[in-house]
Amino acid sequence: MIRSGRWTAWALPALCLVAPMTAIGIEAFREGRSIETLLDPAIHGLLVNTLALAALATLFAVVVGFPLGFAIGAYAFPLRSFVVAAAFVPLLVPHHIHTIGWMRWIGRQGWITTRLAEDGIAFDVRAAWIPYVWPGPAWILAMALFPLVALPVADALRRIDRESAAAARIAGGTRAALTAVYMPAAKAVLPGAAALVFALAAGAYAVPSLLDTPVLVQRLFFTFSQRSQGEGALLALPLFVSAAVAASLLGDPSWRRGTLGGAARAVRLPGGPWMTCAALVPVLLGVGVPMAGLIGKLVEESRRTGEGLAAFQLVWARTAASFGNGLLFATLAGLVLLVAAWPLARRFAARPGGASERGLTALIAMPPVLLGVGTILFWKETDGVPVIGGLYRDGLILVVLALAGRFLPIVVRVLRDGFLGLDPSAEEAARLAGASSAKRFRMISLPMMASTLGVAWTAAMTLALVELDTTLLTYPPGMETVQVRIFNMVHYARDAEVSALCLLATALGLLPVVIHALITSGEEERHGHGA
Amino acid sequence: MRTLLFMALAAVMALGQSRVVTVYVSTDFEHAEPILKEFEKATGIKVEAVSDTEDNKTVGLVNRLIAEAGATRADVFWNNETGQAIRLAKKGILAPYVSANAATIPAGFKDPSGLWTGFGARGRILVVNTQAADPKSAPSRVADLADPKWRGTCVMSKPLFGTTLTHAAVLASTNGKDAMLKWFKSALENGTRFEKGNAPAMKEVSDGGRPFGLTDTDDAHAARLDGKSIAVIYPDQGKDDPGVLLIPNTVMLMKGAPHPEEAKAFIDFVLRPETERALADGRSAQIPLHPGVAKPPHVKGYEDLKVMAVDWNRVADALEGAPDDLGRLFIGTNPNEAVSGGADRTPTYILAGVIALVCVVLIAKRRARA
Repeated sequence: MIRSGRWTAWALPALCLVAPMTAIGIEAFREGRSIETLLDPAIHGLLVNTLALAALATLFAVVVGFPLGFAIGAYAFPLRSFVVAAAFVPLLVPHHIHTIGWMRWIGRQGWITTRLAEDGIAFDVRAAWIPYVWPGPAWILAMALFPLVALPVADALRRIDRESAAAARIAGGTRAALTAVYMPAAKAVLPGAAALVFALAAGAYAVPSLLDTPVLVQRLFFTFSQRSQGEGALLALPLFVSAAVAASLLGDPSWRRGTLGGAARAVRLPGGPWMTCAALVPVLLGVGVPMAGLIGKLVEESRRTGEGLAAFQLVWARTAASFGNGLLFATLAGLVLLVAAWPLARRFAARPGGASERGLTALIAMPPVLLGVGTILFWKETDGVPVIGGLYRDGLILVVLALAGRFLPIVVRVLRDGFLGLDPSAEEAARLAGASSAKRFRMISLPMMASTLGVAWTAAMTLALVELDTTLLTYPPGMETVQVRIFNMVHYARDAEVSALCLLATALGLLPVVIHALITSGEEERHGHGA
Repeated sequence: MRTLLFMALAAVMALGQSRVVTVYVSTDFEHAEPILKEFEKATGIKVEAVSDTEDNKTVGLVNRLIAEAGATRADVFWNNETGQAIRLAKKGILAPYVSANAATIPAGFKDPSGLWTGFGARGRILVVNTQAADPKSAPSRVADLADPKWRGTCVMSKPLFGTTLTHAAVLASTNGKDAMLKWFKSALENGTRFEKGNAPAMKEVSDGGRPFGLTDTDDAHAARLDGKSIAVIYPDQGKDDPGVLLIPNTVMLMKGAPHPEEAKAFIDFVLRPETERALADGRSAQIPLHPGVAKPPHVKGYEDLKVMAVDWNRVADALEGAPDDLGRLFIGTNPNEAVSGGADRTPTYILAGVIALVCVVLIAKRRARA
């Protein structure tokens, strides 16, 4: 194996994540500020709301995502490729768009709410059903995040050793294969996926903000903007600790090599059209409902104004450059992410479940505004330094590094799982044969990791394409992205244009997924495992 | 004459080496963009804009400006309200610039030392859904939102960001902080619904959720353009009333701006009467502050209204303390369900229980591993 030095492995992550977080940490405790702020009972109430919301969102995401992941990972059924591609889509839609789409159905004036009201049933998606429990926002968050459960489960099943699966089927039939091989493999990755969802839900801002849910991150944003950035940063501490504890509690047992079978791929079990129908239910919930809300609004407004599809032309004319900017940032951030994540993932694969790995996972719960401000605070210190100062003032470096910092924990996890699935003996043999580390990387690691690198690149690109909060703070003047543009337009209540732009942005976000799907489907056909 | 002077200045600057100005814009970009383009066309100076929205601006642009302090990337901040301008001024990250084009803007809408200058104001108005209520028998004062006569009929934005926070700070500066907080608590107890922003509050009225609301003139005009049945009432116009609150856009030069001359040219440009006219004619329907600016019939003139007199320095002082108390009131609990009372210790006990449980589980896991 390549012996990446500890410092080399942490160099890029330090630049895009550790340095900004250190800068914001110093700001938090500057001017003699202490953690006394955190002893306020009102803060405790908000934290309890946050934890309950994140836990419920995680539960919903597991309930919806696990069966979907199991279906697409273990079974071959009609339209499976479509379902796999569609399962990515909820991740491509920003949370505020998810919320807007869902509110068309279950908001105060939503279609379902209105219908229920006609039948005398009062329903308020924003309300707490019992103290501290907010099912409405939790559901919408879950519908945005459930692919983070479904996709790792599917990936784990894809990696099941072909011989083990076949042996189990021969010995005890399909049911035995399911219970003895498939289910343990799927359950192994579930805690890690749940920890990820929990961390993201705890730090989520858009959904609670639009639904007026009193969670800690709302208070944090308010304190940040109206009081002081340091005090706001201090309020993020409980979110970070909660995510770290969740990661520790849930653990991440996917490292158990017994459940993974290297690069070999299992034969999928036969599934009929009923399986297609079952798999389509979560996809419809995560994609169909919000998209139908947006399309419905677009059609409604088009009929009202008689402008037909003019909204598409209008927003395209105004925002074509924004699409280009978003693609540029995402591409650069994707490259930085792969380079930064590779050595870390390798280290974590060699020693899974360590403190630094869990700490990195916990950083997912950090509200993006902290990373954005931390990035500025750190990089502005370079102002006046030849070359680097110019990068700060005019270049793309801030937004690219901020995006890389934001999604580094996720990409590291994807690559780490890939490394865990590798058979180390091939590289070890090459090392013993005297191959240099560069040659081992080029001839062995890279080809064996090609598939995982594709997944990691797709994840990095799509996440960076739809990111809003960090981008808002760090994008270079004059280079706004389409997500920034959407968020601006939401305020004008021009629903048709917003809907059109969201649909175009979703199509853009799908681009990396489609490219990846095309590449991997060709690969699967070559291996004879096409659905 | 001003235009000629401006054109001359612009022509001189066009000969300069740097022809870029970086403008942070928190006014609705749809309204600002045509003016930015017009500036580029008139001067040849390229505008590199960073935009933000009303709902998010304090999280986005102001945070960005504060974080960049000392090494700012912005030359100019075009803000759509006044409170944050004062906050930035107090933080010492603005540079003074008194534009010649600001000479006829009333003194109450600009900083005497030129740290910020107001133009194109929005009014804090009452709106009525005319399908649900008769405007003649609607609330006519802001204070009516806490009047039991209008119990459960009104909606407004939470006073946490934007013009509503500025409005709260103005109330605190005139009546005292305690009176302001007492009024908001009374409004909550009176069943007034508090939405996330002015646009959602306007939507609540136009969709029929509540017959009356308190919002900004631009939101009301946008609703009317979208065909909603909305009437506008300029509140507090009686003899003993304080008058309607007007909150202007503000424009300011950043300290250490990388392109100061271009920045000044931009500030001069937006402070022209022509800019105010464009803002009045547009979807934002803003109220010109320069005297004699032509405006469409749906835009009231500054001189046609009884306008609240505001001491912006006192507002700045109020802004230092008010947000904390308002944050407690409006984020510490769900304000539409209950008014925050004394400190409820239940969540603390729940958290203590959760922490204890987590410790037990972690210890058990460690022992199991051992």
